Amino acid sequence: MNESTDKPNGSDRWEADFRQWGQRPQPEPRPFFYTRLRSRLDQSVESAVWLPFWLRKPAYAYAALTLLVLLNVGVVSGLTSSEISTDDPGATITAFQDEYTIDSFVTAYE
Amino acid sequence: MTEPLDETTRLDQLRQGHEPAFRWLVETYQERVFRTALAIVQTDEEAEDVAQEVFMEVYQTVGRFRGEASLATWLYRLTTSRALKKERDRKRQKRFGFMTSLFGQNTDNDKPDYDPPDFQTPGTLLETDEQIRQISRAVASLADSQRVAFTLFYQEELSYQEIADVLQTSISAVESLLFRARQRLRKKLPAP
Repeated sequence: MNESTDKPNGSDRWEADFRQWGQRPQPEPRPFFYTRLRSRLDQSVESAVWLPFWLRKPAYAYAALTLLVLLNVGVVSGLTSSEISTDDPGATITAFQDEYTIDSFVTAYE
Repeated sequence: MTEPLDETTRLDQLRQGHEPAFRWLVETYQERVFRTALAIVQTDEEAEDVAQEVFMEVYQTVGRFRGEASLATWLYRLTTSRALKKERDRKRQKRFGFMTSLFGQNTDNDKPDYDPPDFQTPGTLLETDEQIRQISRAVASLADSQRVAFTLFYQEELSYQEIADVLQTSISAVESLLFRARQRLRKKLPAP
């Protein structure tokens, strides 16, 4: 059992120390605090004006971002599926024959 | 008895964007807000940053303030929550800095990778008494809610009810926080 904390005298001394801590000299904000605050407020208003109203609210900004991501995913998946559909070996050979005007019925020994 | 009425009038003026009312608010409360923030964050720059953020939030959201609590209570609530957030961010950056130092990445050669524990705030520089410095150090090691309750009680001299309003809790919870804070400080500090 710790007597120093149980005795009223000890408690009083702790209390006096804590109160002394509470009343210690404290620094004050630097001069012209209001001027700096006003300037920061004006800057925040100016920067907010540059953004469209629907981007100033986080919910709208997140929704816009999600929409952008979804559109990108859609475009990428669309391109991939079209590439798969054109990945036909017959179509490639036909295109090659068309480009070099090769007749497919002419044999190599003709 | 004219104080609540006066505050109501000031609040109405603030809601209407009345510039002199905002200036009155800042000049009346800036020292209390700064002092409370400085009891939680480490430097006076951080404390001023917190104080500015608090008044900016008041300016931008006073229209939504319903006046259920007093202006002072609202300001203390904003100050303590913002100061604690800043302190948590600082600790997270400190941990991140320590991790990057383990991997040998140093982004700024002039600065250490993580902040060394620094209790030499402007507040403590003014303190000549070693005992007060020791208490400050011990208070900094308290849990967030205990530190806030202790600071509001001993430094800002708020009543249990006022602290309960700031922390949005009950008076018995405040008593418990203060009891635990005192017990912890007694264990950490040499007996008086």
